[in-house]
Amino acid sequence: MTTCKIELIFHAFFREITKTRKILEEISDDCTINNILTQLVNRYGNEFDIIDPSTGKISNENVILLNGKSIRETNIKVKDKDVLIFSLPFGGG
Amino acid sequence: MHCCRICETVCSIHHEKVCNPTRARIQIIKWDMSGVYIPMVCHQCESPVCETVCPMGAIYRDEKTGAVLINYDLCVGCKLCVTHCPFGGVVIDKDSKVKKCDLCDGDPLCVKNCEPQAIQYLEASSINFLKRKVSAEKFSELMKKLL
Amino acid sequence: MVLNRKIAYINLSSGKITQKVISKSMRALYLGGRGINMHNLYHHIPPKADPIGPDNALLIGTGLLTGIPALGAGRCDIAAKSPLTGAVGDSNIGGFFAIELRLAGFDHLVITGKAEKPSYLWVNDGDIEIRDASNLWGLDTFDTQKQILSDNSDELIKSLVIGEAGEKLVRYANVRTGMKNAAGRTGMGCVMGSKNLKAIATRGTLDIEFMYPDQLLDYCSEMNTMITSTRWARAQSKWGTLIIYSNTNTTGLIRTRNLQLNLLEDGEDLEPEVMDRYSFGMSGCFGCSVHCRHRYILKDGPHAHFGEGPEYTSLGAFGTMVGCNKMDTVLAGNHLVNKYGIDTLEIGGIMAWVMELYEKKLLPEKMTHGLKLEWGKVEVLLELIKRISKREGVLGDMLADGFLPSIAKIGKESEYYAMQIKGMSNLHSDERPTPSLALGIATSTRGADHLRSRPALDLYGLPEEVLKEIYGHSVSSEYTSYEGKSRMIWWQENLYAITDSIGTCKFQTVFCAVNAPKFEEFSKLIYLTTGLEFSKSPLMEIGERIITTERMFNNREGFTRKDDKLPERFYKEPTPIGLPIVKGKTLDKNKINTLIEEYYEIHGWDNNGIPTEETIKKLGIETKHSNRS
Repeated sequence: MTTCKIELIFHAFFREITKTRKILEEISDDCTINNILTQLVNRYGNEFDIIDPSTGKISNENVILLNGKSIRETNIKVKDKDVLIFSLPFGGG
Repeated sequence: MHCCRICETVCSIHHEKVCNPTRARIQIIKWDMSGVYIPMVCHQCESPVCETVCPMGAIYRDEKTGAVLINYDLCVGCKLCVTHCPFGGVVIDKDSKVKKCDLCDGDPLCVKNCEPQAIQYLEASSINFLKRKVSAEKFSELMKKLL
Repeated sequence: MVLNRKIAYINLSSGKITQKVISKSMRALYLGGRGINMHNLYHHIPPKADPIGPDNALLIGTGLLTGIPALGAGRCDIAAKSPLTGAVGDSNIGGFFAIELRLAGFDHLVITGKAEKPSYLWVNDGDIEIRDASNLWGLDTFDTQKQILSDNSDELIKSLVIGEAGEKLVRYANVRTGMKNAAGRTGMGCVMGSKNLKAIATRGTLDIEFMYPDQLLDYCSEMNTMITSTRWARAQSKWGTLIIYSNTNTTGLIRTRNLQLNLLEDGEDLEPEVMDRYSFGMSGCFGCSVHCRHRYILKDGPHAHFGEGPEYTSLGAFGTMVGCNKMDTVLAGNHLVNKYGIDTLEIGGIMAWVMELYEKKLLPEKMTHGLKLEWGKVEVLLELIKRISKREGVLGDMLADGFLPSIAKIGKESEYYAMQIKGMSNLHSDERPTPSLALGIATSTRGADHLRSRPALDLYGLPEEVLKEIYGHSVSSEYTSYEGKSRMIWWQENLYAITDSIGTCKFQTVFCAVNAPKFEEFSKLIYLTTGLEFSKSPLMEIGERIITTERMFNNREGFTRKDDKLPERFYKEPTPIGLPIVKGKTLDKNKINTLIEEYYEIHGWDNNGIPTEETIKKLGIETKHSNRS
């Protein structure tokens, strides 16, 4: 199994919990968003428990950007050099 | 402190059935240009000066809530309570009546509606503990520096 | 009753002041605030009036719900024909002025004519007076307010004021109240200056009687809990609008060095967490439970001051747009524009533009009087702000007139670099990857602007079923897509027209949070406050009526489809950096044109952006130009 390197960027409450802006993570190449979220919950606690139990998707109160695109599904596989941003819905000015 | 005047507004709507923050029993004194806001309201004193000076004995303590209240059947509107309160806790309303905070029957609406919790209504015992905790935290910081 | 509030007509030339009760039929058509102001804009300003002449009318309006303890219901709407664009001038201001005006007995003011000498209006418990303001003329916006308090020995007075920029008729001078609140856009401060009107000061003690006070109180608590329980509001209470930067400057949706870049790569000092260095707490407007602005102190250096804010807008104006990456500089710029009373967004756009022209050697050297307009220099920025606000020198005086007159003077080639629509600057968002946001700024009735219709929800990739439920129509979840985006803009535009008319905060509706109050909740609030009954669809129709009235005003002043035009640069230059989904994006002109046509059709306007007879009739818009009072 090969590994890939991804970048995780944390904003707002996620940064408060992780106490960091950015981490580089080495993961196996069959890793999904769901796996990453599980790891983050284990490491940092429930702030990363952001799946809406009623839909199984990322809740509408949170924003996860995969290479800039907002995603809701968690079964998406992550590739080498992907950037994942953990944030909240604010935008527009 | 935040100052959105929600406390003043809900107080006037609840007690006077109108929106008029100038008639509220709680008032936020603001220094806009330096960003300082201090809420002023009856302190529900242990030995209320208003009660002592009232010539009619119209001021009494509600046993259930502990609020210092005015008996309007006895009150003659002399306003001695207003002039003697050191905090401006008793106010003169439009109709010349004196009015003060009645703790909304034990569940103050100003507190309930203050989302940032700038105003809180706490048990005396928990206030004691909180004050001691804050002090202890300062000591603990100091100890860390010394060690 | 709350509906007993009056409208006053004040003619500053003759000194004549008349008062009238606002009719229930007017409320039913336009509610209040922006709605009634737009009706008055159409009917109280003669066609083709000079915006800085006595014929222009300055319109002040509180919202229909002003005074309820929820959703920031203390906003005031200020309108006039814009001296910047010649189109609808309209700007919204928070703080504590609107509630004070309503307590003083008035909901609307229509101010025409021109005072002979510097004057201010005094509005107090049913009376209005025109007073001498010669001791206020020349003061900045902070000192003007302080002087009014001390002249009247009353610390509870609230004032709308102008600073030096308004006095000097800078075309985008704003109107200010308190430490930081501003009706920033479209030059309403210039209109006040042109009327010799330095301030409107008010103090009120008259009860506002609500229809069902106890039920209203309960429902207001429910609304406040609804909004503060969203994660958006909790973040907003902590970091303010600066938090937007976290998303935009990581993805690449932020204009940098005018439009040369779409991300500031060494911009970590502008991140919202940096405000911890300066902030000593948050502060809010009347009736707001969110409290989104910092109270801060900049302690050291030549620009030390106490201030409130800054907003995300200022982060662009004195940060990314002008190539600056220091929070100290942003705070210094923010404070200076607040003192002079000038629109932060407009001046940021203008400065970024001339800096790019300077770099490209398109700005005649003799204009700058030796000022090197290089990116990211605090001294250059502050000097430029001062020159524009005081109309100093050739450059300051020219730029004080705004984009279009400056383009005419500098030359045709400079137009391509001017990021403006209808003569007004755009926020520092980069709309190239986001067609919906682009459609919004192209069609906004007050020129390039994000607060008329911005569908921030589009940026979050919400599930399509969620979008369908909100917008009543299928909308693509992808922010790079054109699918359904015209419907999205139309819906948001109606919603914001309503919030501006009931006087609540635009952020406390479906702007950033899905689960925020919208039409249904507004219906109930209006009922409990006034007794007036509107269900969701009549409210949507009022929104349409307001926007169509604005369109008709613009049509009358010569604006049509040709003016709903994005800067060419959005079509030609791809975004150079950013994350994969953002990088390399331009807008597709044909697809944008299709969106514009769809948007007109949903509104019932013809292909040229002009409301059809049928639509005007259906919406019951009065077209006959009434006599002025």
